[in-house]
Amino acid sequence: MGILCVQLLAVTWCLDPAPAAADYSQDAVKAAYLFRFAGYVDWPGGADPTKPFVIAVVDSPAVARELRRLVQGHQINNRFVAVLEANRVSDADRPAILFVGGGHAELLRPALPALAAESTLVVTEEDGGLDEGATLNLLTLDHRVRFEVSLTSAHRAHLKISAELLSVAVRVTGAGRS
Amino acid sequence: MSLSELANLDVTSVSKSSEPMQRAPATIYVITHEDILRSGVTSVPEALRLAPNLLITQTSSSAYTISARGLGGNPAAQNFSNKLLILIDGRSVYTPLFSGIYSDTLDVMLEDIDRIEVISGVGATLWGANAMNGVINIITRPSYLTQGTYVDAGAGNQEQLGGVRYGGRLGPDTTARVYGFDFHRGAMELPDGSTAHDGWNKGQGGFRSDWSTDQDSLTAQGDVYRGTEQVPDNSDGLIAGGNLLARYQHRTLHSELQVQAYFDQMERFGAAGDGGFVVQTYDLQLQQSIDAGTANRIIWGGGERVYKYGITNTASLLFEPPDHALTLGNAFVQDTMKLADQAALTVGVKFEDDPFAGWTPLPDARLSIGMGEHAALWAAASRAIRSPTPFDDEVVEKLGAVTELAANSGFRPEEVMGYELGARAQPNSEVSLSAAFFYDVYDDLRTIELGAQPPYLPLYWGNLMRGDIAGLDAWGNFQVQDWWRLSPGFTWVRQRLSFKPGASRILGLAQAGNDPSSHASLTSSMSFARRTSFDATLRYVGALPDPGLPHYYEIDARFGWQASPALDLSLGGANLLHARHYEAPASYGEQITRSVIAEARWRF
Repeated sequence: MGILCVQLLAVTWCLDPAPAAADYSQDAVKAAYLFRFAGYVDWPGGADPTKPFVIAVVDSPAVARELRRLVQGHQINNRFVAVLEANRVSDADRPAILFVGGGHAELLRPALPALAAESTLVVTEEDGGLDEGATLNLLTLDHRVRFEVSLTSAHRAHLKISAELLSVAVRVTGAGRS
Repeated sequence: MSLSELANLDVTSVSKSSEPMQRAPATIYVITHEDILRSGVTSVPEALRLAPNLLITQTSSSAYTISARGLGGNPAAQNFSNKLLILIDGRSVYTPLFSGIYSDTLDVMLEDIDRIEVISGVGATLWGANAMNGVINIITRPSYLTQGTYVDAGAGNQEQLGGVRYGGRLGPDTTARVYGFDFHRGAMELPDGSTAHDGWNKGQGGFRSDWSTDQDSLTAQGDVYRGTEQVPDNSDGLIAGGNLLARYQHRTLHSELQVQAYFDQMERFGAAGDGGFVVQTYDLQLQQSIDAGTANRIIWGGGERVYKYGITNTASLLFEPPDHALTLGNAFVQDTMKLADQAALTVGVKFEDDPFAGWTPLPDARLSIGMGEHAALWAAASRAIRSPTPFDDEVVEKLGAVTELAANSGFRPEEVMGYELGARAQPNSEVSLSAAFFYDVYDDLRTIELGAQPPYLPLYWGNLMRGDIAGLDAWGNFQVQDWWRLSPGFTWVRQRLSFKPGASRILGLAQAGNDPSSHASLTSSMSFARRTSFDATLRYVGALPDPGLPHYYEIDARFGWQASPALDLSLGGANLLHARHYEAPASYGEQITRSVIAEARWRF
């Protein structure tokens, strides 16, 4: 919980000294990915343009905060964007994108069938995230945030991943790879 | 920014506490939410046993002594553990009457705890006087992370407990939760098998609401509790209290402002004729952190606290005056400077205006040096005091008509100058290690001194002990297999205390702390198929010197089964090796009884 960390401890210690102006926080970059992914993924069926495009964040308030900052006034596929925070996967109400904070991907398993049926794009940020059923998994490699893709999971959720996204991924796994 | 541009951004600032390599230049052990739930502990003091840098000593069904790095007090000499601070969501829970902690007032809904940060060593520049040997921050989750209904219930040979929490959304940016719990913890047993008659009950309820937008957040929270505690051969004692806290934060890209205010009331009355007290605390704090250029982060702030208390004296123990209002003010500034790519220096000072000792400077300097990606070194030098309390300055003890102990308004603060050298390493994703050597130089430690002429009564509290304490806090984590983690921890303490010239030497050197020279633990965490888990902790606590007590080993364990995504069932046990064991000498501790408990937790 970044906020409390700042208030009680990090005032001095948790945080490194002020970042140089050109540096970006991991949380901000992850939020930017979550916002950008939508442009490279096709959801099945026609979306109701009157309903918001929901990005749910489980157990990562810092990413949620950055994401809220980012989506203000922006639209995805001509829909307004709503960022929801949930403390459990099952609480997230049919989001288009579900992001599960580090260390919690194992919570996904019981919810996977429902998530696939709703064509939710599941994104994790830990080693083994794809094995737990995520379609995209963010990794921090050499000070950069990168991602890997599971086409098996994408196929199961009837999501079409664009070639451009695949070309940036550090790893692509699963059936359906051409 | 396109995906490929994102993929090539350098990220260097880290804001998540779960970052694998903590760079904090201090001895910090973090007990996580997961650790607490998996261990099967049912109370905050038991959860604190999970921190290898703390020593937890249970002395009765409701009482625990919490200390770090020695000088944990010696109740046989009327010296209580008083060199450690505990905060619950920013609210101090130590008592101003003697600077100690009443462990039966620490309860929090365990499910709602985000983490407990345990800092051993001097932390006075940020947290103020009495953070001599450590600070414990108990941090609950914001209400947007505790949505939905949670119910738990447990029953065992020593305790029965139940709790409910409900979290909901009040608006687009506002969430809240309410909770309540109640428990009964049974009495310990005397050596002959009869009851020690020290069982207790407590009920507690509370709420927390969080409103947040991009730049601002406002938290309001509060709790009320009431409990009764059995007293041998007498009527029950009463504990009751409540608190209300509000915290506002405003964040911009390069600064953060926080204002926090709280009110706290604690009542405590012993059995008939045992006296009691009511303490009310009003606290206001402000702090701001600012990025000054690219290489400095400055934090400054200040606060004021008012304690009002009223004491019901007994015939033998009298606070004079019995009613008092004490004010405690402080102002601090601290700068963290980036010296080089991997080196940072933090210097700061707090000035605290204590009701008995006046203004005191509490300076601190810390250097951290990263050794590549996987290791870091740090060093620190800092000063703290244990400020005088009414129990030092204003207490009178009588034996019949004779005054045994007189108030001493000349009592000085106990002082420490602490030096630390620490290292952390995470050579690979399976292993992490942390160690800190400390060397603390103490002066003006509390002693009991003789009156001027025969029969040398009344006695009075003096400051005629000094010395140094050296030691080591170390722990590690080893991921043996995907499903199995081992976490050893070890603390070694070598105390070298002496009386100053003119000291009475009554009560001996161990009056400052009846502490073991070492304690250690080994935790094993296993996760199996079919959503089952088994966690166990073996602990060792070395012998106590005076009054003496042999060393002991004990085991706490829990077997958990996630019967469905919504339902966790578990069987837990504490102190499994012995039917009864002493953690403190019989002069101030009961035998602690083995306990087992079956528990269910629902989340829906």
